[in-house]
Amino acid sequence: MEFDMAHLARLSRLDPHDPALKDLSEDLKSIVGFVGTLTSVPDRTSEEVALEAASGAGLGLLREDVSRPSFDRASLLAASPTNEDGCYAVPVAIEKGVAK
Amino acid sequence: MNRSEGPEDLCRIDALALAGLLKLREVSSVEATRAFLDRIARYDGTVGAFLHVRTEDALKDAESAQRTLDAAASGGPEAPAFCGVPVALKDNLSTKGIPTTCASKMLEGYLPPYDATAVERVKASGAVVLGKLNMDEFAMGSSNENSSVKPVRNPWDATRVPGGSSGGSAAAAAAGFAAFTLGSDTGGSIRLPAAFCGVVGLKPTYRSVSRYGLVAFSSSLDQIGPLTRSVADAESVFGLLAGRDPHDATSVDRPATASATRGVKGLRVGIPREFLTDAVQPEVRDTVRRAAAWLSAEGATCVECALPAVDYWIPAYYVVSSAEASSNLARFDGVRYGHRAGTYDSIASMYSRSRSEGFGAEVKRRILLGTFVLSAGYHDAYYGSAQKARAHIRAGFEGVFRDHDVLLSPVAPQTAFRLGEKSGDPLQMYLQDICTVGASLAGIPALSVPAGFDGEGLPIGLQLTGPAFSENVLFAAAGCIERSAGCLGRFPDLDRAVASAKGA
Repeated sequence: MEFDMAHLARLSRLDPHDPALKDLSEDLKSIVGFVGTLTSVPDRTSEEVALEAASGAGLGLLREDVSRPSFDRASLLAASPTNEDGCYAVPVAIEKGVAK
Repeated sequence: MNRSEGPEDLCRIDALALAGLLKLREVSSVEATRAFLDRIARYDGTVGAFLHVRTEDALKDAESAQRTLDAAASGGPEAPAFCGVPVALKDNLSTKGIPTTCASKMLEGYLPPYDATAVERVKASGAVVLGKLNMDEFAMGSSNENSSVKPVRNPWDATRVPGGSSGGSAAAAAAGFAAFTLGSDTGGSIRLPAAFCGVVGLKPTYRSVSRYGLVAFSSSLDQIGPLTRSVADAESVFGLLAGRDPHDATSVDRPATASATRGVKGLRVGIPREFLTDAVQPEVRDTVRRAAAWLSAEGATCVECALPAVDYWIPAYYVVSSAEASSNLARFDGVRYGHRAGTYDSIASMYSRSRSEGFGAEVKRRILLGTFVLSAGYHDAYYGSAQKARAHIRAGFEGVFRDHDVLLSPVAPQTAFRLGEKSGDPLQMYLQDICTVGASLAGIPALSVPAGFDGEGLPIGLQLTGPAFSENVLFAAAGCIERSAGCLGRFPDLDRAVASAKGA
C-alpha cells in the first residue's frame, strides 16, 4: 500500500515537510501490511456482544454536574508557552474574514 | 536491620521491611533517603533511570515524615503505611510542581499544577518521592530506547535494555534506587521491564486504579501499577492505589483482598501452549515448566491450554492503541503547555511545526498509524476489525477462565536484548509484546514475577494472568514462585554494570 504522507501528516497535524516522514512512510507500509490480518476477523457472536455490554456495566459513573472550585487560572497559564491578559496567546487565526 | 550493616543495605530490603524499621525507629527516614540518594548519585549516571532527582526536597520531606514517625512512637496518631519510605515515579504521572515530561522534548520543563490520584495516594501513605523516572517517550516502546533524553540501561548488564516503557521504574527498583516505584502499563509496559530487570510488576485490572493524572496514551488500556522487589510489596502498594476516584469515571471500588497467607492448593493453572513454541528462548520455556512444578508441589493443578485468537493480539493492540494515541496526543499543540515552534506563519503551521519538533520518531509513527486506521475509507477495515478482534480476545479469555483460575506464561519470548538490537525495526520491537497485550486488550490483571536467570545471568520473569479483579490469586501464585525460585534478595552488581557500560 502506498501512502499520501503529506495528506496523512496534515490529518495528524504534523509538518508535511518533516524530513522524518520519508522513513516513517516505509515503516508504515510494513506495519499496515502486518495489521492487515485483521481484515479477516469474523463478526462478533451474540455471546461476545453480550459480554462486551456486561464488561461496560458500571462504566461512566459521572460526578454530579455542579459547580466546584477548579485549578487556579494563574497556575494553568504558567505552563503555557505564551499568555497575555489572563488568556493563552496564539497567532491570529482569522484575518480580514479569511481563515489562515 | 543490624546497625552494623551499611546504609546500602537499606536500599536492598523490600519496602515493607524498610517501613517496619522506620516505625521501630531502627533507622530514620533521613538516613534512608540519604542512602537512596547516595546510591542514585553513584550509579545512575550509568543506569539512566532518573530524569529528575529531588535531592533537597526529598530530604525535607524525609524530615517531615520523621516527625510523624516520632510522634507516633510517642503515642500520637499511627503513622501511615509507608511513612518515610523513599519511592520514585514514572515521568508520565502528574506531580504538582515536579517536572513531568513523559521523556519527551514536547513537555520539557512542564510543571503540572496537580498530582495524579495515584501520586496523591502514595504521598498519603507517607512515602518520600525521590524523583521522576525515565521511560519511552509518552510510554511508547518496549526497550526504553525511545526516551528523548537518554536510554535506560539494564542494571544486570548495562549493554542490555531494561525493557519498556517503564524501563526507568524497573531499573530503579532492581538497582535499589527506590524502595518501590510506580509505572504504567498499556500493552506490557510494567510487566516487560519488570521481567527484564528481575522485579515484580503488576498491571492491575482495568478500572481498579484511577488514571486521573496519568498522561493518556491509550485510555481504554492504560493502567498504573507498582514495580517492587517482593510480591508482598506489590500487593501492599496495589492496596494503596486501588479504589474508586470521582476524577476517573471508569474507576471502581473493588477493595484488594489480603492473600499473604493464602496458598495455591487447589488452584487450576493453565499454561498456554502458544507461548511454549521454539520461538521462545529454551531457558524461558524451561522456567515456565519449573514454575509449574513448584505450583504443583504446593497443591495446584497445572495443565497446558489453548488461547484463542492469539494471531490477532498484536495487530489489534497496535491498531487500537495507536488510534487512541492519535486522539489523546492531539492536545499537544503548543498552546496550553509544552513545546511551541520558534517560527510559523499561521496557527495551523504553529500546531504542525510544534508537534513535528516536539515528538520523537516512535510517537510520530504511532500518531500516523492511528490517524490512518481512523481515516475515511479505512476505519472499518482496520479500527472496526480491531474492535471485533478485541471482543473475540475478551471472550476467549472468558472461556479459558471457566477451566482455569490463572494462566502461567513467559512475559517475553527472551530475556533482555542488547541496546540497539531491535531499535531499527519497529515491527520486531512490537513483537516483544506478544505475551502481554492479550491481558491489556481484555482488561484483566497480569503480573510479572522473577523466576530465575538465564545462562548469561539475565533475569527471567514469568507472567501470571487471571480474570478481572483476581489480583489476590495472582499474588498467591506469585508468592509460591517467589518462595521457590530463590530470586528474592538477589541484586545486580552495579560496579560491574558501570564497567560493562564503559567497555560497550
